[in-house]
Amino acid sequence: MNNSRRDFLKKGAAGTAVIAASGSLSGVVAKEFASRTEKIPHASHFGPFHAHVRDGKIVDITPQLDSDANPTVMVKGLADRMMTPSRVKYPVVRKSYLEGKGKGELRGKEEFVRVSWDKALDLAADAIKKAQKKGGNKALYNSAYSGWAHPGAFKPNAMAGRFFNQIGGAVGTAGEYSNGAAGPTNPVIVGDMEVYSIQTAHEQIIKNTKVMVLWGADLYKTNRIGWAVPNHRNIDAYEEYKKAGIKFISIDPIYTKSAQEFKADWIKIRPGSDVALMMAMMHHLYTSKKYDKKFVDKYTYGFEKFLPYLLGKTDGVAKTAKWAEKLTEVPAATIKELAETMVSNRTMIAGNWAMQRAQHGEQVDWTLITLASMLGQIGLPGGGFGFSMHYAGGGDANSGKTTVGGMSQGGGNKVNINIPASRMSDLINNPGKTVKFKGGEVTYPKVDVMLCTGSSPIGHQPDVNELVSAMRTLDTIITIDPWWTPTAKMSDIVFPATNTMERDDITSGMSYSQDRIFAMKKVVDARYESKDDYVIFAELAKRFGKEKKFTRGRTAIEWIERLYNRSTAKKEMGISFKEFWAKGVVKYDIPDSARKYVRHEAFRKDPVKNALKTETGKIQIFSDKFAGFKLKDFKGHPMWMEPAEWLGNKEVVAKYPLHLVSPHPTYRVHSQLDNTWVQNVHKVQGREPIRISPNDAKKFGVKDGEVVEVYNERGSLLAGVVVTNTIRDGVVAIEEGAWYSPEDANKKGTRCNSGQANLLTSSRPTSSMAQATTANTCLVAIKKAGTVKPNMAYQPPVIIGA
Amino acid sequence: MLKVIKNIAFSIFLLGLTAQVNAQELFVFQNGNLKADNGKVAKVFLGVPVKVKKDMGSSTKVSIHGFLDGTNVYSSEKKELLIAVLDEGFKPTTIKGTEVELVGTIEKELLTENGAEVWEEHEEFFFEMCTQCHAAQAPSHHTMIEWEALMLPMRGFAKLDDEENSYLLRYLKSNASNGLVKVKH
Repeated sequence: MNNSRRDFLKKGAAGTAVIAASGSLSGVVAKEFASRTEKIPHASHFGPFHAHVRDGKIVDITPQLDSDANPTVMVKGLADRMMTPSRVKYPVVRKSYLEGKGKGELRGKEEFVRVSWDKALDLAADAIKKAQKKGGNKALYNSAYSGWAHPGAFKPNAMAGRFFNQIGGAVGTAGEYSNGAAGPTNPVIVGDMEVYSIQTAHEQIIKNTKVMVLWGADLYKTNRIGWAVPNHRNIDAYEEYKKAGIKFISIDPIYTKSAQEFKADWIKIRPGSDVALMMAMMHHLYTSKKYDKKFVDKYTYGFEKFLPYLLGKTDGVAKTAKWAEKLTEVPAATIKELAETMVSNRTMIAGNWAMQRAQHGEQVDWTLITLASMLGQIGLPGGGFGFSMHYAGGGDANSGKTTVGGMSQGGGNKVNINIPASRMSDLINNPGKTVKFKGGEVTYPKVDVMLCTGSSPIGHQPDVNELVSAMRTLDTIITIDPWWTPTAKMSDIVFPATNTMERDDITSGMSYSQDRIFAMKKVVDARYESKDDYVIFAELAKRFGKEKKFTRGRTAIEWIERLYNRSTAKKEMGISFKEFWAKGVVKYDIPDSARKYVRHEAFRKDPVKNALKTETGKIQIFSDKFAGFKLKDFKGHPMWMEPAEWLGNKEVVAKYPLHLVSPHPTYRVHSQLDNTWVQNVHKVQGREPIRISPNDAKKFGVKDGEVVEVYNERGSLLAGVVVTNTIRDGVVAIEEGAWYSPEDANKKGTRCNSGQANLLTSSRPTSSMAQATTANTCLVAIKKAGTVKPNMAYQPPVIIGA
Repeated sequence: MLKVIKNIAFSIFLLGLTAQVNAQELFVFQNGNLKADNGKVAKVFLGVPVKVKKDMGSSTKVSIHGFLDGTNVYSSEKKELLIAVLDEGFKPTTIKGTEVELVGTIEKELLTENGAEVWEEHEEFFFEMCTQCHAAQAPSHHTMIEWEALMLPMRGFAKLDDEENSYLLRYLKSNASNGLVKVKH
């Protein structure tokens, strides 16, 4: 590895002589390249891999095939993300802010000035201290709530939380964007979150399932990435699903990748009407006496309180198939047939998360669980429901062993105000406002300083224009990130962070299988002036006299070893840290018994001994707790409630005739990798694709491959048209996560040149219970784009002194 | 002026009275034994509130309120949190139905006035294990059964073994909205 370039050239010359004799070029050069190339193990949300490094540069990335059965192209994009021009190179400060003039309204419009690390750190610490003095720690808003930045132990949100907790805390986030509605609902209904719970093993589905209903779930697509490091073994399992002859039914406005692979029957439901379909199926099962009464009697609570509603005795509306036909656009006969198919065959319902990211999203899982109860197959092998078959390799069997966790935020937060995810703009815009939340109330404080790291609020918060306006009213915005994300561009102080390949870390794979520990070894030296998150926050803590408390005197590698030491590998298998680190991976076997796992089987076998962790120990079709909240938009049993925006609302449809869904991206984790070449696989003229049916393309006069404007009263964006038969009429899809790029930053409500779907989505909450995000409740219109400018989303801003 | 002094004196008297009343309720600082008059023992768990009946020097005679099921005593009728296990022969006083009172002596060292102090180690472990992915949730924001429900999926993410999971669950349930301690942490 220490060979110099001169040595290589010498050898190359010698090699040339050999080639001349042997006639083999590739063999010799390849051998020479290999001898000078180091393979360094690392891991990501996209899979484990080896970085091939030569002369301090990454020359290739190859998957760790013994830990990733079916790698995706996304892993290959990681080298590009390291070298991209969109890296933050130096600490910078927005010009007016540096000059002490503030002028927050210029955020996102004004140039930055390069400064020293000390200057930037001092400015950030001063802003925090000033806010503390003015409004206490509740004037500090830590927007870094999720650990999705990378799968390692040093998650930026944990570092931020740890820093703030050392200085007395900050306003944080309650719940999440992914499962904000189901998260607080499901534990009360079925005694488990379900959305993050181990699923019935693939082996049991292959052996027993006759019908699998993909209710919005796209198993192939969303399992491509993972919270931990994905193994993609699910793809192999799906091949067995196909061979087993399982009948697939996809209830979805999109004919998904999974529907295509499984050749599923397609029920082209109208978005936002799934609860109505479920109600009608239950109505049919009840009135035809085909439901499993014994199951309902033995394992559920409150069916008799729900039944009058289902039959229309409380509101005068019987939830019949005919009633649902109008709402769902699914023929009544199909609704009945669907119910009968499911009740007469061993059926697994694979639910999803997107349906609950809509107004009244709390009702979706609750209604589906109630339907599954009437089908009576919960706890049977290959039957029942699962809300995580599409996530983290759902169906993977568990090793039963312990892998590794991460750095903690620790205690010390005296603020104790966490605002519901989705209320970000509301918090900034409305200090003093009180909102209902999970049966209680939250009052927003006045926040002055916002810290962003590990995620990009301008990526995940719906209604970007609302958020951008709100952010321009704050005193200070600090961002710590490796890249010039749209949020970094809207900040006052920006610190360049290393990405994981520039430092050591540790992680595991995967969330359910728990059968790998991966070394995320440093691959190359930190580029430019970037520093590790751990170091940056320790430096900030130092300015508050808390550095030692933040680090506890440990180096990063000491933390990594400490985390490893809690694993089964160390505690029971005797694999030393040194040995693990040298190998780069520890593998656990998965016991055969784990492949027999059936979700809710124990409860079914003995509902007294293995009672659910609910109010009654049973499935709560009715919840006294929820009824006790006395909310107008969330009652004691599941209900159909019409959303404000959907194709059933003629008044809004007259202006905005298309329903926009913004599903998880195929080639990203949210906004991650949008700044890499991988996006060329699917972008249209550098913009996020908008999928539209041939009928709608004709109706609205748009053509395949052209850039169009998509708009509603909240905003507008440019997207590239993909005309496809895989989406139903009246619905368009733009995958979430494109980087916001204002076409004219000085113009209010300017178009996003990149196609960021959240320009169009609403910040309206699901209900006064969960206050969760409703991105999939959204109507839009489409028109010709007119003149367009180049998309500058992935270019750094103007920096003085760089 | 005299009135002010009188008011202050009365306030001090009230404060003293309050302190005296509060002193009647203590908490078991760590798992220990409650010894009945007949010499039989009940194992009591940390965090359990006790009412002081008599100061016995190095030990204190106390009573514990709970709900009996066999030899197990729970904090509530729903049997969500085990607070004591009785040796054979330990006779609890029945109040009504399964509701009982356990009376016995316990080492004074095992008692504390400060409910929060009981959980310092647990709290540190909670923050260490349960804030790796998200910010900490206040234990009092959920009921005991909700914590059991939430910990089912979360223990895997936190990489907890059985012992650690039980350790954390006892902390969370004891400090839940319907748990043992009404002190805000």
